[in-house]
Amino acid sequence: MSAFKKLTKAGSRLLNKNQDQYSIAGILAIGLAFLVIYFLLPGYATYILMSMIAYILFAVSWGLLYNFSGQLSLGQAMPFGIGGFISAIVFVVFHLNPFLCTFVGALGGAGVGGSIGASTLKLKPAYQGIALLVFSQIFYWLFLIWYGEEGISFGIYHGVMIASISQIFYFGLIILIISLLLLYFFETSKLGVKFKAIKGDPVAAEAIGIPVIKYKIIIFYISSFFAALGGAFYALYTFHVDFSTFLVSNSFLSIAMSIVGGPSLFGTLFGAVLLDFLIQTLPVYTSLAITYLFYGIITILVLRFAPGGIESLIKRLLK
Amino acid sequence: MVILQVNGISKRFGGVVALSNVGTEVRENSVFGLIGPNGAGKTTLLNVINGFLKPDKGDVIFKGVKITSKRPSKIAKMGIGRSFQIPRIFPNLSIIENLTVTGADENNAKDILAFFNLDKNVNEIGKSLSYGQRKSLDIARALSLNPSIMLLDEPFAGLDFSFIKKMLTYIENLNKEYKKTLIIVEHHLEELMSITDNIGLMNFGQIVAVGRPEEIKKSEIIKNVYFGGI
Repeated sequence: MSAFKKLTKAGSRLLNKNQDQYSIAGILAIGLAFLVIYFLLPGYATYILMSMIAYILFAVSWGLLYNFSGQLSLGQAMPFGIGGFISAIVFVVFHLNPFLCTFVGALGGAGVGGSIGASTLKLKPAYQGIALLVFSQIFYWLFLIWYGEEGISFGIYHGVMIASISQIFYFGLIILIISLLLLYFFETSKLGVKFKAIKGDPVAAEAIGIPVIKYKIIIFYISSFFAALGGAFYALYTFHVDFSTFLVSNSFLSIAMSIVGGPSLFGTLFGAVLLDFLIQTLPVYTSLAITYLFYGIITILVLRFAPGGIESLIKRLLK
Repeated sequence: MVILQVNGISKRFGGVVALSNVGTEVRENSVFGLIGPNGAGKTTLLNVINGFLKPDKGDVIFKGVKITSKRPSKIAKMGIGRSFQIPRIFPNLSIIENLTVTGADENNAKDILAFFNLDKNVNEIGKSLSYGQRKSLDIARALSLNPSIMLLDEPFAGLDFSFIKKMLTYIENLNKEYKKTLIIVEHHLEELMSITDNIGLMNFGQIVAVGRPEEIKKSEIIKNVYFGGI
């Protein structure tokens, strides 16, 4: 047996033995990696890291809905954008601490996104997806009409930034680590297994005492919270938010990230990091059109050759 | 003691009368079989009992409580478990998780899996099982709810002869060992009659005869229902 195979087998055994410890260590290692990159590569790399934080939260929020309860959202940009707008509006109106505004935005986005999502529960997945896409486009036009193309600035008061870039980065990193840990514990909890059962067979889930509708509503609020948290953080590090956060391409990006990475928390996280890295770095060297073409090709290749995402390729390798 | 009463249940799907004034009762710890040709309304009746379908008329009374308007999840928690004609396991969960997801503790789940000979690779995902094993897991999961009544929809359907014999033993023990009241819909009449206390014969949405298996077997009505039309 080759040394490589031995190594991968040992790795596989190790992972199965104490998955919890290694998963938690993995999440902390991601945080550490972000910190190391932040110190070694200041400047644009910090912007990319903050973008990754926002889009990891965004992608896992979509994964929560689809991979846990089988509900399809083609308009996940809706809670993302609402989170950004609410946090910015609260900041502009009440002049509160921008970090506090981020949480207010996340809660507001959860309330609006969750309630709208709950209204689509009785639709079949494809129609539900389209309904949510339409809702996200309604918000696109509403915010374009209300705030124009320039949108609202966030975290800037009388031309002065209320928080420094490093403060924003550390804040983002902390909410990312806490969110990932919470989501991991949720995924592996008894409640998480019930959600997976709903995805597996909602009729059977109802027959064993799981109130499917109630659980689907709950997951919509949880998913919207994380999407809105990502959107609010996006508004925080870019210092503004506008109608473009509701773009269809933004909704589809969260889906592509989950598809490319894989359905688990770590798979989606990996997909978000990979695609966001490409989208943030390729335009430096080439046009935006080529960048999106490249990201489209990757998504199609993964769909064709690894429907379970890159995560499934790694699992196959470890078997 | 009567554990379940079905009183005057009617259900239509558009112009089709699926159930018409169906009434019967099931005694605690007994095995009640429901037989009849395809389209007679057997599965529809099970769906009404466990809440998947709301009847147009009539009531289902479980342990003296009317459960007609309750959600299936609520009815399951009250003590009515069910399995399906085509097994509806959770393919994305492990075999043990298919049981623990009902709230059963892990040791109890393992005991139940051992009872159904499913305890070899309990951490494998559900979709790795064969059809017969899926049928067993479907029933095992219903048992893990610790229900008072189990509704089994065609537990022998699609199984080969040797697996039917195994399944027959499992079902007999559900009643004798686990003390469960069973309502079984089935087309394998010989096997069903060997384990039931009472049989309800359905045709065109009505229960046309109820009796002990030997009485039903000898009656003219069963010949008419299956061979002559009624």
